[in-house]
Amino acid sequence: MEQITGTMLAVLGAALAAGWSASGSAIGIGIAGESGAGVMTEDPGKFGLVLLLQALPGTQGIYGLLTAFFAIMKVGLLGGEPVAVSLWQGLGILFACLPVAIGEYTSGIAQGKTSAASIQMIAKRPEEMGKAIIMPAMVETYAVLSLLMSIILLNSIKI
Amino acid sequence: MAVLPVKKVSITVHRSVEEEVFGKVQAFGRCEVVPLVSQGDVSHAAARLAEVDDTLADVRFALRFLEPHFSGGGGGLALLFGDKPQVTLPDLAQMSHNLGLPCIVQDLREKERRLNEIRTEKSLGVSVQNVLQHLEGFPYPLVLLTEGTARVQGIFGTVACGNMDEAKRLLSSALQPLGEIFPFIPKDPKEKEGHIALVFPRELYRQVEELLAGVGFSRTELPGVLEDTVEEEQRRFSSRAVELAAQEEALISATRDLAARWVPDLRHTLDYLSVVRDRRSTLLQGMRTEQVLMISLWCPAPEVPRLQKVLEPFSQEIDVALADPEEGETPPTVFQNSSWAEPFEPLTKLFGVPEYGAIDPTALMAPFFVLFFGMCFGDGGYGLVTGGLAFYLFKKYRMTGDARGYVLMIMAGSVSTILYGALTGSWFGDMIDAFPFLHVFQPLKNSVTIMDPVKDPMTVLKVSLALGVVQIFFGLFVALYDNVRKGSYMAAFSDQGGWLVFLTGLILLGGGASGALPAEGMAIYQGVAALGALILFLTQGREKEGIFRKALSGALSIYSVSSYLGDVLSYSRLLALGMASAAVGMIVNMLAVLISDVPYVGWLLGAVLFVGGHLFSIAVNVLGAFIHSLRLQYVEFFSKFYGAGGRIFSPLRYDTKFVAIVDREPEGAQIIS
Repeated sequence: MEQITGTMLAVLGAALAAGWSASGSAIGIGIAGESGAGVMTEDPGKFGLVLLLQALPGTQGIYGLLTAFFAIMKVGLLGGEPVAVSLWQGLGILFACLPVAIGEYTSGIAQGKTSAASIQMIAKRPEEMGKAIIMPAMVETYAVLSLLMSIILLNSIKI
Repeated sequence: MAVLPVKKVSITVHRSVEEEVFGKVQAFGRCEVVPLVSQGDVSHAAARLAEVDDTLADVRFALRFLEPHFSGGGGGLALLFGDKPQVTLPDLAQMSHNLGLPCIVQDLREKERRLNEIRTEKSLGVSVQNVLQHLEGFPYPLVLLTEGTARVQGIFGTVACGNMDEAKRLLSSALQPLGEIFPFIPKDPKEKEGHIALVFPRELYRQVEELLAGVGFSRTELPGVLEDTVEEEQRRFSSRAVELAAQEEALISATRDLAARWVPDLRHTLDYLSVVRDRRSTLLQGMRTEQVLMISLWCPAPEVPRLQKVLEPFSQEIDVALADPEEGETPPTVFQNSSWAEPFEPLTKLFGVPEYGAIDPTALMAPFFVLFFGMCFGDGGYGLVTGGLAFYLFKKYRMTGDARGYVLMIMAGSVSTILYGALTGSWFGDMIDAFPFLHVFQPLKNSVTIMDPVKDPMTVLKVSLALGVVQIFFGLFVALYDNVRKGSYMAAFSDQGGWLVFLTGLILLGGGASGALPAEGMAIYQGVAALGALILFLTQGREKEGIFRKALSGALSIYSVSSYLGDVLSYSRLLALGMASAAVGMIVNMLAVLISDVPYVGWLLGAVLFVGGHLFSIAVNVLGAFIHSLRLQYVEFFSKFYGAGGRIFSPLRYDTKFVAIVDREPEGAQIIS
């Protein structure tokens, strides 16, 4: 029973990591997309630049997927025999998933807003594309740090 | 590393050859005109400019009119990469003169006018048809409603449906027995308004008008052309609409033919005229006397001899004076990079060009950028795909400008990606391990694998952070060199020296504490860190007044260590993005293996999923790899020593969109008619 609980806690962690990160990316890309569609009403030729900026908040979803993948791999749910996971280990994996679940959700939305603003910027000054890309990339740092912490934590739980 | 020095070249030229001389300067293409408010009598030069401006306006009009109908191959991708057909200037001029532009433009203006007329008439027809629809069933000729006869007149208009009965009642009692009322109640019950047509003796007009005002009637003016009965008019307008549509179609198809015939030539003429315009507008930017024109140019110092050679044939008519840039002048920045670093210049330009005389960071960051790109993209298979694609494009098109730089950067980045992928054993994710038929390659793959970001992220994290430390230290050394070069020894010693010593001490301490370095050296490590901190404490407040403020600033500056820590941690993205590529690839492979168990079509589904999934992964990851390796340069590296703030060199040259102007006709090139 305890082992099942442990495994299920790990699964909960993976689910939170993947689900919240995907939500963050979805909202972020949505915000940027709304702004992009507005800009393209005026100038459909900017599709390439707009798409690039709109895609930026997509990485959070990938980081979440990555963490979820690590978490379930750790408890042996991906191929091979399931490993015995104690309640405490399962809880540890759940906690280790939290930085990603929280950080990716929030940073996805924040990056979406910055991308939207950058899209507005290239509407007027397409030549400043470099600066427009760097600003959303500043937000991404914290998505990366969240991922880093989750990976380090997951790595430190011995099963 | 530094930008090219430039010379100020002042040319005094006799006005008889001014256009010829600046034609040569433009062909040389390495001199920027120093803008100057024109002085003296410029009316002749201004008229020459206005002349070419007028022709340019004609060409632009023709292109604006024709281009929407042009479907011929514009060589979109080739143009994007800067691969344009080559042509000499005399050939281009000849072509432009033989084009017969005035006739073309006149013809096009006529066509545009005719099209506008047709479209106006069409829309008028549509609105008349709409009105006639409401009058269906009106028995008399419509001339009664438009003009009337000597004794009878008519009115047509709308009334709210709710008032219709009231209007009918009032009007019929007033008009009996001399007038007639034709109410048209809309078929659609959602319509709020109905129409009424009245025919009555002229003398009743006042009375009718008052009655109508009382029921909220609003009059609809009918076009005077309506004379016959409703049915006949409808028939007439329908057949006219068909006629107009045919005429419009014929005009558009004729325009399409013209577009196919003229657009390429017009585009080349546009380029030619732009070249002429650039040259003539230059002639307005100088000082003029009755006989001579004086213009100053910025020319990169190493190219001055070549410029002098270009101007040699005019030695009778011109005088050239050379000078160095003076204090207060803002010379342009000319990049000076060896051929390996040159493709990376667009990245520096994106951030902002260096100031004249400052350090150019292009060559300094290029190796880091390539390395980081490889680590972020992180998969040998992906590197082969992007590298192959870039190589194909590079061979296929004769690229120029920034596009060439980007393609070469992707090529270099792909090579680094392949190497990093080999070191981490990632080829399309874990393809070699995931598919049993590829297991033969396992020994080969494993023989070069030294670390695996998915299984052992900590090692890759340490490597990433170490690279961060290396680049930040390198940035500090560059700043130190720059300060020494400029003679700011105090800034070099305190701002960079202090930090270099302090950070080295901290790293040694960290190494000692974690056991990576011998613990016996702890006292030395502490000493180094303390020395660095002391230098910072004593120097960082040097611009403040008063001993207390100096001490406070000095002490506070040590807190900046947290920003260095943040910078180093930022390099953890090298691990994160590399791992993301490898892991996404792994997930794609896993799904492909799972789905290939489906009976009969499994292998096909698996193959589709494999290709589609990896293409998606490549698209997402190449974007991330590019942006994040760039960000590390801009935010973490440039902040240590680089401030941009320069102005890009924009010489007078052949600035064209559709053709490349060359000195000599290349062998085997197509001659442009």
